Amino acid sequence: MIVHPKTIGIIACCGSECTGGYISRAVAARIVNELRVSKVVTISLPRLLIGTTNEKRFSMNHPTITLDGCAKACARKTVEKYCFKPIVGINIGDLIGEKEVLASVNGAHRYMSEIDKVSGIITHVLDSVAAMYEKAKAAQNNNCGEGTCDCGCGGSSCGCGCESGSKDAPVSDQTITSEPNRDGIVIYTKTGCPFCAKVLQEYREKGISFQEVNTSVHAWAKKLCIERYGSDKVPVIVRDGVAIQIGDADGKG
Amino acid sequence: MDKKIPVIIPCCGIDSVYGLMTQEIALKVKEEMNKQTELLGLAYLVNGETEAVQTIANTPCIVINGCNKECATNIVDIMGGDIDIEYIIDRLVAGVDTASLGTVVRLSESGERQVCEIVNKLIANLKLTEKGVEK
Repeated sequence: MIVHPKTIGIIACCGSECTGGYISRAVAARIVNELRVSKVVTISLPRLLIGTTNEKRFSMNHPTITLDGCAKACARKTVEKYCFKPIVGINIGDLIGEKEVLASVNGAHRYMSEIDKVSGIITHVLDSVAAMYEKAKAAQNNNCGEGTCDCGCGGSSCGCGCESGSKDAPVSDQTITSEPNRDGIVIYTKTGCPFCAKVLQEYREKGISFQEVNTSVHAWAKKLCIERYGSDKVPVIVRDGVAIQIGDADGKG
Repeated sequence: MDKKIPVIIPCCGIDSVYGLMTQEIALKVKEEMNKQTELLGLAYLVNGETEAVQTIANTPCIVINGCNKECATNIVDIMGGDIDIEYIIDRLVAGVDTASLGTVVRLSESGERQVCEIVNKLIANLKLTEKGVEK
């Protein structure tokens, strides 16, 4: 039987010599203590090397996202080296700019807007990963016809087949079964993709309405992105049936 | 022989307010002693990067730990660094209510005050050590 994690882990590099490291600590601390209390847990990186047996097994016990301040990716490399490979490795440089993260920390500047921005993106990534595990758990306990379905449909033989996952899954994911209407903007994303989360956040901030389709949830969407839009990377932003952007603003995906 | 600039290595632990204090102390000391100290992220050392290990080799290391686990000290030891000055914040603020210092996310006024006191102490300590070396 597959064991489903109750909590997701986040490990930040917490490097103090550059802005990215400073932001990584602030974001992880904020998520664990304020934004996703009891859903996300953390541990200081050195504990993977010199901690207790349980601490050294952190990423085995919790599917872990690593948050690095720069492209050196110390947190991701350390987790890979001493424990179980992280499910997502995020470099803050990809989110706010590689040049910006390498600047020395200015003690007087608290980087609040950058911390807000990165917190929003990471929270989205964490939520999508949590939803994925919820969905897997629901599928495992799929007894829709017997009235004991765990997917959130209430066991009402709704015909969902539990494919849509839990009640916490985004509404778009629960309702889309084929290609959405070609009018308007559709953003194809993937579970745990920070570039997708970044693009979604930018669109929300600009007040642009769009429909999100998660290619990790819908196999047809993944096929569509490859066959019609010629891209195996996400996000793919489609307007009125035409792909207008692949990857984030810098083409990263 | 060239005199090496001391390297400050804070633990920046994420599980208590002390970790945040180590980060703030390191940043303030670096700011006050412009170009006379360097900062090194502990993660870089934990990962065993050659460049990081070379940075601490034969260099005075100033290690700032948040708690008794002494992660920064242990990692510098493992990687072969020489520790000149070692601070453990929870010992330095013993007797002060931890909650009054702030949270993992931000320091309170009292926490900021404690940080400033420790920064002054550390700078005085550094200058003293420097004089010792010169003699």
